[in-house]
Amino acid sequence: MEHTDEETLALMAIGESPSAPDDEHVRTCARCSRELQALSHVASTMKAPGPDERDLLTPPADLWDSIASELHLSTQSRLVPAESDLPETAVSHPGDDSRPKRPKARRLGRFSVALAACAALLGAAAGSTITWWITRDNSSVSAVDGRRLDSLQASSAGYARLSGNDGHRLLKITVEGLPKTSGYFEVWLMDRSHTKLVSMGVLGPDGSATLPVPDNIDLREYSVVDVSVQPYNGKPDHSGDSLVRGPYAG
Amino acid sequence: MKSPSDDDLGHGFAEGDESCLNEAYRRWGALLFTVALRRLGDPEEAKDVTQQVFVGAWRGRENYDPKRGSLKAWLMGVTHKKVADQLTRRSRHLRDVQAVTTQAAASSPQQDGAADSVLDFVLLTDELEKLPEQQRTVLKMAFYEDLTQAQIAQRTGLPLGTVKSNTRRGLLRMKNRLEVDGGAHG
Repeated sequence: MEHTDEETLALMAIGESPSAPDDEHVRTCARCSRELQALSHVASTMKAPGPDERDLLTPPADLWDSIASELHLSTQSRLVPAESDLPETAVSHPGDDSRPKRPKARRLGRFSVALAACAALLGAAAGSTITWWITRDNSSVSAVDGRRLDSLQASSAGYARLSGNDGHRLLKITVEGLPKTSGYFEVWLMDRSHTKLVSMGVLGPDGSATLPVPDNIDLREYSVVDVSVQPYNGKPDHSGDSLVRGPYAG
Repeated sequence: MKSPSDDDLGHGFAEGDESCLNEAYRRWGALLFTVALRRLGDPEEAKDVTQQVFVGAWRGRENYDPKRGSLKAWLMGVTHKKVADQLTRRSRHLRDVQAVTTQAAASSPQQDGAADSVLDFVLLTDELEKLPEQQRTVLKMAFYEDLTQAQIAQRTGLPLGTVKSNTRRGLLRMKNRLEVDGGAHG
């Protein structure tokens, strides 16, 4: 057969499976075999050593601190990222003594899986959206920008509006299609990594609420709103059972 | 368990959300540190390089376009560049040592390429950065994320044939760079 073409050799080098004839030819042809070896050398030199999870070395404990201080990160962001579950730390509200400090939520693994699964299942069929209107300095900006927001339960759709200015911001949220529950519905602001949560309050029986947003909450950081179904069990943590959630940054 | 998705994390990072930087470190700090340590063999240097990667990536985040690849691949690319810079800084002495060792290696061609040559790594990292953007993008996905051609096509929206021809062109150019400058793999 003819010599194997360059493209096939390149693809073999990068790890694609060749056809049986190509495979056979390369093994028996010195020229193609040399060429493949040269290309494979490039690929293997460049491929990141794919360390097994177990082979990963833990970076020095002070590495993150050095990064955070070199970048002058905010105190919030300086929390040392833990290897597994993040340590419980308080979300601080300096100057806001009216609210008890809440423990930071554990990483909501189950709830993220549910989110991913729902997002995949619902796809575009859900037809539900949360719309944010952000008003800053009296200019109205729609910040949806094409980003699809999630209904985590197919029957629910949520809408939220932030109004007011820095001195007095209000979050108005409405959720349609509330499921039956013996518990209650709680509204949260969270950061994108879903590791920092602030409880805003609860929905009224009609599925809506207008909630004051503390001045010192940075909405660029807490850029996601979430409504959860909470059982009456006296635990302040997020239940992991969300109805709607959406970022407004686009 | 991933929360949020790597895509969301990439977007948040690009937009300057500090919590995403923290999460990126939590997710990939150990990986990048391990890669740097394997390449450099020196824990202190590996730590410095990993710090430079996160600091440099954060300050240069406007250069990261989530549409052109994952944050993980981009950080891995930055890591490779910083490692290559570090290796280059280790003095010209390296080249002299390397020249001797590659000559020795060339006389035993049964090396299976995985025996990492420092000089090759530096040259190839440099060449990768010089490739046209599309070639660079598809190769980085293949190198750093171990994606198949079909997955790369899906991720980039490029036709599979285009992905394959970019892979071929880019890889050949890198191979030629070694033949011109590396001298050990003709």
